[in-house]
Amino acid sequence: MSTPQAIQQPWGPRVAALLFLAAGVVVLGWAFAIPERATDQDVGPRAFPLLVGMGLCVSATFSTVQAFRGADREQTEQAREEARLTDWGPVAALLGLLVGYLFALTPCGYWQSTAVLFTLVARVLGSRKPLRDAAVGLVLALAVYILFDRLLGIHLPPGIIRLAF
Amino acid sequence: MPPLLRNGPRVVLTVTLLATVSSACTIGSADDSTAAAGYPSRGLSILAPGSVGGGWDARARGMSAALTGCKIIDEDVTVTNKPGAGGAIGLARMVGRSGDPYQLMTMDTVTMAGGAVQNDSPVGLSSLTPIAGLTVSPSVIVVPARSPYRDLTSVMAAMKRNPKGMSWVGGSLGGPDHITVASLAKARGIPVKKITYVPTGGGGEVLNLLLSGASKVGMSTLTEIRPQIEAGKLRVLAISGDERPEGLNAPTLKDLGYGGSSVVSTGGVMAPPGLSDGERRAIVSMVDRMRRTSCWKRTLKQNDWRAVWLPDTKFGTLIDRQQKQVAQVLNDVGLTS
Amino acid sequence: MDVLSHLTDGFASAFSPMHLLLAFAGCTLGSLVGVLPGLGPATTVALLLPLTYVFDPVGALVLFAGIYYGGMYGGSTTAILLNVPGETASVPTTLEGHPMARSGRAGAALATAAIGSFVAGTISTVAITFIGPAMSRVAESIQPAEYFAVMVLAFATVTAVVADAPARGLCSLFLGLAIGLVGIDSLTGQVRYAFGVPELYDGVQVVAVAVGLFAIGEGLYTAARMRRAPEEQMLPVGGRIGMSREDWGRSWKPWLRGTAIGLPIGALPAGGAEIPTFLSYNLERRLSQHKKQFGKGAIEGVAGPEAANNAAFSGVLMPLLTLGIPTSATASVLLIAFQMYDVQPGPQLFQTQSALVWTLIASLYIGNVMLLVLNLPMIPLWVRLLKLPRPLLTAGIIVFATLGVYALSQNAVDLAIAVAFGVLGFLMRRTGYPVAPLILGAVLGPMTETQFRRALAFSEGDWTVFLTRPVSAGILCLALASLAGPMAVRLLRRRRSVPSI
Repeated sequence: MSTPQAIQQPWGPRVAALLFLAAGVVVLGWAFAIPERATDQDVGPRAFPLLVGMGLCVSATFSTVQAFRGADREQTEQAREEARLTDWGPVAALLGLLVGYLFALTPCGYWQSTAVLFTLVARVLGSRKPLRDAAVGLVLALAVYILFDRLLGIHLPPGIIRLAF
Repeated sequence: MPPLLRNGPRVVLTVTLLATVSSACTIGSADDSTAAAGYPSRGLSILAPGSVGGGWDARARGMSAALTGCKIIDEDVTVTNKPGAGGAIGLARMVGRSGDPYQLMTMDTVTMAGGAVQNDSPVGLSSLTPIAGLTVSPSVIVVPARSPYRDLTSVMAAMKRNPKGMSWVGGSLGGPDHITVASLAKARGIPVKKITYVPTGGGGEVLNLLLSGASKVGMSTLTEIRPQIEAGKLRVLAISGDERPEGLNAPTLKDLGYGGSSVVSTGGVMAPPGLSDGERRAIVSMVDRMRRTSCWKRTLKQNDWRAVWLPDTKFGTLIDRQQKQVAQVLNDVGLTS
Repeated sequence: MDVLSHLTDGFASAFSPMHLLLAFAGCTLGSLVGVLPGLGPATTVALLLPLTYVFDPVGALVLFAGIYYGGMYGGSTTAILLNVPGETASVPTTLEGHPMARSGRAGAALATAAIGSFVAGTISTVAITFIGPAMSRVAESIQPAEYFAVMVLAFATVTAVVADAPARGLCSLFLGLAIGLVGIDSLTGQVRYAFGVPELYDGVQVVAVAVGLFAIGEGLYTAARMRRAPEEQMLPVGGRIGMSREDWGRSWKPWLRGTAIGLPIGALPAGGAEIPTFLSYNLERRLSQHKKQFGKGAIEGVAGPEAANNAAFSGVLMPLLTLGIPTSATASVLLIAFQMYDVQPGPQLFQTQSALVWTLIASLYIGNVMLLVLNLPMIPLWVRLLKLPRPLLTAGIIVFATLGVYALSQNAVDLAIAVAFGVLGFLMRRTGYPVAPLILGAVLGPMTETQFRRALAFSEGDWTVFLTRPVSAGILCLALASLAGPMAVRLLRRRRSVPSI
């Protein structure tokens, strides 16, 4: 019985558990790179990272074993349901937009990039009224920019094109 | 086909629309020519390398209020915060603004120096243009009222017998408190690497650790613990610096023969590197006028800072001297690789 | 009694048409600014502090109290409606509040938050009035060993909550602790896990982590399921806007328990509001009759933490007023406000400035009432926000989430961190890993390590310090019991059920 089940198993839990394990290895590995300096301290800067790294490695190993054997039924069920309902296209598009926004923010300015981000995110999420979205996005971005930058004194990148006031 | 591409024309339309609206706004003009006489001809920006509500921020906002509120200049002054890495992030930003006389930064000579040494930061405080030292806040060495120690001499004697057992608590690592404690130990011939110094975020934590009996002796700026001293919960053993603050009956470190160990951090203003002499003099003169205003005096009073005036190269000399001292102490403590 | 006459005097000087107007203005302004992402109560108050300069001390304190309460409530509003926690203390509110909003019960969530804050504020004000000085004396004797024990208790309870899958809960907790390790080690100045990025030297901004996990993760999740599960659109607000009889019945006990947790922990010199809100959330989850609803919108999970958050603020006032120790960002700002008027909080404050202190307490109370009066009628307006078309609403959430993170320190590194944690939150949600332990680990990890090492530094390396101090030993035993208890019960049950299969 276990063989067909294994084939049908969703990959989500395994990927997640392996990611946790990888993080654990990184934490543990880098802990050894922290130099214990020459001060006479009983617990140095390395002790706590070692503890956390080991904790993460041990619990992630448990999770990985469970994920590969499909032992955690509740988790497997949930992941199967998620896999059935997931459409990766919009996720990738949204993520791409966010990364693009990260790089655009400083050179292009806050309100400019935000207006574009708003419009395109609404688009990705299925809105079919780009003109309305663009108008809403622009008003929202400008309102936020003026409120933060001009009234509250929290500075947002102005970009190349500056407001006249 | 993803919906984004399928609806290409409309997306283009949207973007065009955005661009049209954008172009209605003026293109910002950057005038780089600065005649020192007409300084400042546009708005100033003061950078606080710490977060809102901290000491650097308080100084930046106090300056901004004094410059505009007491009508020293007609242009507006904005305060920006660049917190992080003990001020090193703000410092790096200042270095990047080389040649811009409209960007100032508030800082402290020792806290900043400590941060920069510790983080192996490639840019030092000395690469900036010193404008002026403006304030000092005296620190005090205190013990809880029920402590057996009556004076600094007995503390140092006990520390000599058992360096690890005499636990000190004070401000941040590499800050003036830490440097003073390490220098004291060194002056008494106590191995600096053996001392127990627990750094904290400042006054409140120092108080708690002293009053709960966790730590034996503490160091903090006077402002933060003055009420406890007046209430008789803490006993002052010594005052750092050369002068006794008003209403405080305790010897200074200099009186006790530890003059060389005392490190008092001076708060001041810096400008980016690469300024002309004229520009530098114009900024110094503006700050000089600022410090005489009633607005600035109110800020001093609110924060319990003592005013000093170390313009231009005097400030630069102080920074260089204290940075060397800090680097030396941190090296003794074993904190620099 | 002396205290009562002082309090009456305080109310007398705080109660005037002008001051009521100021309280109203403060609450309105505070709510409006506090709703903006990235602006928690402390920042809201710091930004609006200059406004108070123009008034006399009493007027300024009344305005200040209004701004503070408004700012705090504004933070809960974004947490519930948009899944964007304004500060770490409102993360537990997000956990249950936003699912409630998604299932059309935003009105009830906002109402239980407002009323819970009011109840907690009222009880706490009374408590400060009568037992403040006594509590401060107790708080004064708390040492690092006890702080360490309290944090271990917080970790034990949050992990035990997901006792069905301890490995998953522990993975999340340890990852959170690892995130907390990033940055300069406060005791030796050693840079850890910063990978050469100077923006990481001060550690990962926890608000960036929280906003990423919740708001951006939520956006990605919506995008993933929008075509194949369209029926999962956010439900419109249906039925009554306020709280039903059942909601009241399920809320009042959490309000009281939240207050009981928030007040004493807030009063500790290193307490703050994060520990009590998380402890309250864990406790409600443990005690609730509706355990299955947790994570899907259980009103107890909003009522308890919100009350705890508000009570913790009142608790914070105790060490501030009586010891002069500011234990939270907001308290530091309050300290600055005091100093503006040449008032230095400390042991002698109640004698030297008693009129001002009692006026402050009275004005906090007025601010509290004003908040309730102002916000209950506002709830329908806020809820209307959720009626926006789903793509616009999600796009708005993304814009506000990124803004909130960027406004924190104005650098793109925090934004990148938030996006990365958005992806992580998305993956964790799909695979059943709880996010609450991760946040708690990231928030409390650095404090735990600091207190642990401080305790050992002061004991000269004697590890038994945690067990020889009775309070610390007691709390650690409680932590062990809360971790081992549910597991033992589960083990017993399994043993009993195995033969029957």
